[in-house]
Amino acid sequence: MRTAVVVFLVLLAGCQQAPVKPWERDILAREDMIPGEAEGLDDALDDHIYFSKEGSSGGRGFGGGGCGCN
Amino acid sequence: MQLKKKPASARRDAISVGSALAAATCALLGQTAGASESVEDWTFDSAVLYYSESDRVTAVEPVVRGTRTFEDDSELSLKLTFDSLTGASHNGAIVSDTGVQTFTSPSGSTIYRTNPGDVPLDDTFKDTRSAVNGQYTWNLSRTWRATTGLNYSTEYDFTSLGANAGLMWDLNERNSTLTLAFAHESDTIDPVGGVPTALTWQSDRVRTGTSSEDRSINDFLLGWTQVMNRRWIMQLNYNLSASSGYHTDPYKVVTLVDAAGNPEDSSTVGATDIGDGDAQLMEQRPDSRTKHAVYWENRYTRQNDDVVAMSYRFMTDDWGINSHTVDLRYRWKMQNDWFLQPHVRWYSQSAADFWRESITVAEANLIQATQDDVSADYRLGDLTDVTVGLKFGRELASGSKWNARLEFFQQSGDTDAADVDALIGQVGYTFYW
Amino acid sequence: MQQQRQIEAISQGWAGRFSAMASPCELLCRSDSQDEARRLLDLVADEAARIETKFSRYRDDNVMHRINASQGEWVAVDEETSRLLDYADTCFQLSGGRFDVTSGVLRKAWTFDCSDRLPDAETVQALLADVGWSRVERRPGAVRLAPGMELDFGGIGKEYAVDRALGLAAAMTGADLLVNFGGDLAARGGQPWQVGLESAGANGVQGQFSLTRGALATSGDSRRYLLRDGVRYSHVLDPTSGWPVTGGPHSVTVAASHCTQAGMLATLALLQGAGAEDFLRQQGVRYWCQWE
Repeated sequence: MRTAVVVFLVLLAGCQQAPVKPWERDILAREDMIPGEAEGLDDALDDHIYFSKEGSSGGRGFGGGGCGCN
Repeated sequence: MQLKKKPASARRDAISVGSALAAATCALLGQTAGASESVEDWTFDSAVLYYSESDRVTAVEPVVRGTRTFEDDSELSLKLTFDSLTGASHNGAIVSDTGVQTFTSPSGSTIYRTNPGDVPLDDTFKDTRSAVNGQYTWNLSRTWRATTGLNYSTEYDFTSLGANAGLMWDLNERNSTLTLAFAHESDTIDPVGGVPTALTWQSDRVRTGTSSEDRSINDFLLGWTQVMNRRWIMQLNYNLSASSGYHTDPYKVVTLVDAAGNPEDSSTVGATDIGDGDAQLMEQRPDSRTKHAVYWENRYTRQNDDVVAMSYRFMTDDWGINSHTVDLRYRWKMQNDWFLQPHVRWYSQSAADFWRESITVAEANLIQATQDDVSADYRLGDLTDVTVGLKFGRELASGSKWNARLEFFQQSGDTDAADVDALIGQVGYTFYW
Repeated sequence: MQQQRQIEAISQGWAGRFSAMASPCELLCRSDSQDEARRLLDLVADEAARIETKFSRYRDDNVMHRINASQGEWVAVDEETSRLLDYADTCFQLSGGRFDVTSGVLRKAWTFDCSDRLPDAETVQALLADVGWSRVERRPGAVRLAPGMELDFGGIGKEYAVDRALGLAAAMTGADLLVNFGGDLAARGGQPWQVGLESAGANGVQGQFSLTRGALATSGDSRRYLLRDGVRYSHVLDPTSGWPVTGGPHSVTVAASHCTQAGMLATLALLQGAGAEDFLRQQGVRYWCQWE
């Protein structure tokens, strides 16, 4: 459970910062900073490859997605 | 036109002052010209993936996704995927250094042999998959959004129909977003040559008599996306996936071995004799599976605009598989809107409780008597995977983008069958219509 | 430095008013919630104040002052200032040098007080030595002006503030919005906004315009001119000569998708003098010219 503890502490530290205002979103609005959009179609293609080659799936979004490969 | 006494470039000459100003205004306001034009237009993302394992499977997978944003900020996305697979796939049997093994193809029409030292591969493996996804997302209020979608996928021995729905809630001046989503998927498995009766001998070709099997999956996702500061965003997801029904791979066997580890012949168990080393048991997996996954992603922009992306996933399930996935990417921004992005992925899993590389006759008899689960599929065994790759791309003046990647994927585990090397190549192009 | 901010109910929602950039400013919002309107007003007024503070020529604590007092040294500028400089550069190129953010120094010679006091040619000629965008040096994140030169974003700033303010407010609400800073305005709506175009000189309304999404901006001012020997000298100075444009309309109003773009088209049209309407017709935009 060590990982979970580290995650939690980092989150706590992050939450104490002042919220980022709408006019400070120039960087965060870039596509390469948006989880799930930054890599375009790669995420779904990778999920499909690794779903069919490994015993795990899911997490990023819904796992698998209709494939009889596993 | 009299205004253009000193055109800055030949390109400016060709367009009116008005459209040049429109583009400059978009740049000033921090909108890309493409993005502003894409309102109420379609954005198309397209890609072709090439995946090739040495000696095994080769896949070519073209994808096209069209996304349209409407005036009320709602968004419709439609995606088409085709997947063409050729080559051979490991059938579950051991890699024997000493003995020849003999198998029947899934259809029962041919008998094939694997020589000592070779990975037993079923080379009748050939498939074409088509999938269509539609997703619609709309605003419920200033801070709430809803999304719903449908998926359909079909291949010659498998059909899947799925639906999903979710809610997203923006909080804390939109610095936090909570996501709650459900998905349901119904799969129909229609194995070539009929559904084999689990835990029977492959050479006997015992079939259940039913033409197809079903599986249903319910997924639940709780997500938290948090802006940490101007340069850092993170996402934390919890995903529960509960499936029930037919999970067995109808084409996979488990090899029976003697005390020295050599493949047994079917005569030792009284099964049909089709050749040497033909004592192979049809595998059986549990009829349900519950997976829990925690996914944590971070994206950080450095002072020079380079982006560091790191993600970690922990997954655990009631089959006894625990896995860790670490993914690192560094997007290096170069001049003229080029980027170069090295990528490393590391994956490690522990074996499922019922995974066995091979079993003895005594073990097979016990498993048959108790109707226990057993599989020798290397994907359920101990496994460590490493992917190393490089992606590069460029945004063009028109707002369209292209990219390409080349990656090497290497699997290794406790068995020789788990040693897979693959090449991943992909080209992608995004444009507006 | 919170300005006076007032909010009142109007027939279709709320109107918030404040003062910034030497202009009366307003935000119209078709929202049911006064709280939301108040939040949006604060957002819009804060943004106007931020831009005014950052780019005003009349302060000594901002990036404009650092640039204008740099005495020929390189000055580091942030991303937003860089984008404005890029925009100024594009406008300079597109106008063949007639829109020039370094032309503000000419105001040392010209005072548009409706009198007949024209400066003498030598004074103007001497000041022209300090005008010229092409002599401004740029490198990523920094700018250098020759000693004596000055930058002035006066021709861009207010329209830019309108676009920024609308963009921020639009990101916070789904309600219809109209942002109006002293007659330069931008709107987003499902229902159109009715905008009256006031006649600049005489009384009366010049026209009515229905605006659903997009912007209007006006360049020119009927109250700022010089008149000598029957020639009306507008306050729009041509930096290539150092003299005001003559023979053109008193004011030009242009409709475009963004206020910044509309304002620049209006300014470029004024710089055409008598050719203003020809220029606007070529751009294929809706416009209104006030000649008398």
